[in-house]
Amino acid sequence: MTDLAETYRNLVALQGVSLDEKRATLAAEVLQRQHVVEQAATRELAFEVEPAGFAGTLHAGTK
Amino acid sequence: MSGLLQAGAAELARMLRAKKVGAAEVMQATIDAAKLAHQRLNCFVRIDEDDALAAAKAADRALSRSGVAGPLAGVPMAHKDMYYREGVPSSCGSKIGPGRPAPATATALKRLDVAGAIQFGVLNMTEFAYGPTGHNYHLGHCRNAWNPDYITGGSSSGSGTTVAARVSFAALGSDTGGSIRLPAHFCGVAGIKPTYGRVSRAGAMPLSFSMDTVGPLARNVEDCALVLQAIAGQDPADATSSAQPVPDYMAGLSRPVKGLRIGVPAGYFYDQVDPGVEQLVRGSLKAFTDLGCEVVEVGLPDIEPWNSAGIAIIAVEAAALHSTWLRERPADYSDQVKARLELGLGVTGVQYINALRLRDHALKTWLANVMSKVDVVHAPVVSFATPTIAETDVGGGAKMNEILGKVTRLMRPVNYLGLPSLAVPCGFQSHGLPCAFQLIGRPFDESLLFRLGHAYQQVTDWHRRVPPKG
Repeated sequence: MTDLAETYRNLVALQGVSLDEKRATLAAEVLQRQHVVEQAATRELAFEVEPAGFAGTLHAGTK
Repeated sequence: MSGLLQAGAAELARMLRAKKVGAAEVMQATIDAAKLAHQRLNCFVRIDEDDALAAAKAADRALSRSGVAGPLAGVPMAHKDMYYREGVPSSCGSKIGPGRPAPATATALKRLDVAGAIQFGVLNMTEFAYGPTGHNYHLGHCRNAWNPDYITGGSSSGSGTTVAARVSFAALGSDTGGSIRLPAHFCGVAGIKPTYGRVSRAGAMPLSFSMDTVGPLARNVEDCALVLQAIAGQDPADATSSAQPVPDYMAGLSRPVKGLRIGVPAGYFYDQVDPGVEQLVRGSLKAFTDLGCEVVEVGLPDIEPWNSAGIAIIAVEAAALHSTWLRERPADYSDQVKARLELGLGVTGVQYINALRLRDHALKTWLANVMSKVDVVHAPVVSFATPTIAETDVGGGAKMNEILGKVTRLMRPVNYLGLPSLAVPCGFQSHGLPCAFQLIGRPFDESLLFRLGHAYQQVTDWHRRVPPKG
């Protein structure tokens, strides 16, 4: 098992859920891929941006 | 009588009001058809025959008193088994369920009751609405009315296939990552995923607070408009429901579409598309051109990160909801749903918040770069030929993320942006399974989607095709 998979398995175990090695390895790979994509996408976000802005934009976006 | 079951919900409502047929007569035919369909399609969790027939007789009495019946008076409907009715337990497609009779009736059901619709049963669905194919390892897999070997799509699997089979006249689904539009595509019916906040989620089983939407699947676009009209609008019981006024969808249906600009995406939605699906979806554009619409290619921003961010949000919110059961009842989940929930336990707090922070930026980018140039975007729902139930029976194994990601790829960005999207049937693939396109609109502009979809259905007949009885 990779270090990443081991870390993920420990994190999940802390939350009371046990995983086998295969499952932890698969999940860790998926999470790592998502993390890379998302880190790249959020790098340029303004420091002040907060989640609540979405609802306002949604309502303002109607014609 | 079987001819009566071919009508749409709006058409049936008109026939009932004109007393050309009685509600009890229609309900009995519906229940008979439901029992037969269930044997072939495994589409019902429960059929409430006695209550439905009693309600239909009451509807006949109401209809006999002019002016007292609602717009859906006497129309039989069954719904995904995740809309709570007070005092009744819902399975939510699971072995666990919420574990108690519902404390209150879902707002969407209350509003359909007020409109006069009669619920005659509850429908199969993916376990906890967390899966896009229609597999269910507790209730049995739901089967496609066009060919029972093929998937229905999910998670509103029973909703899609019973509407297609001409059993339910319309059915509530829910769409967190495609769960209305996917069954609409796979089963050949219409389905509207409304704008986030357009319809109250109160009393509906939650999957992801930030993404869940409630909407109907129906036999045609007019029926979708009629049902959405009944359920849309602000609700004090759901803090995220919008105060935006609900337009008269039915009155807007027949307005001309000439001059409207339809955008065809230059990337992403067509990146990995099967040639047969592409031909059907692009072929549907001709009808819009003939109707006087302007079809233009539109460039898209980089959508892939939005897909990824959407997955992270749903995974975390679903894992939070299920965290106690994951610890205490792990054996009561199917392997696939458990594996997906476990993923959410590994997404960091920072990643989750950043996925939510990115959402506003993404929507602003979409509105500025895409919706400033066109009125709607026209795109495929799914990029590949409909697979069989066996081909997609991947459980929680190594292929799960690849297969499920492929099914939902063209869905998730729309959920992430919170936008409305209407799925409309547009033909049949070479193996006889249906195909649909989706129209994606501006926030709260469901009315325009209905107008375009209805205009398309006035010049095509895909929505009138009926599956074989088997």
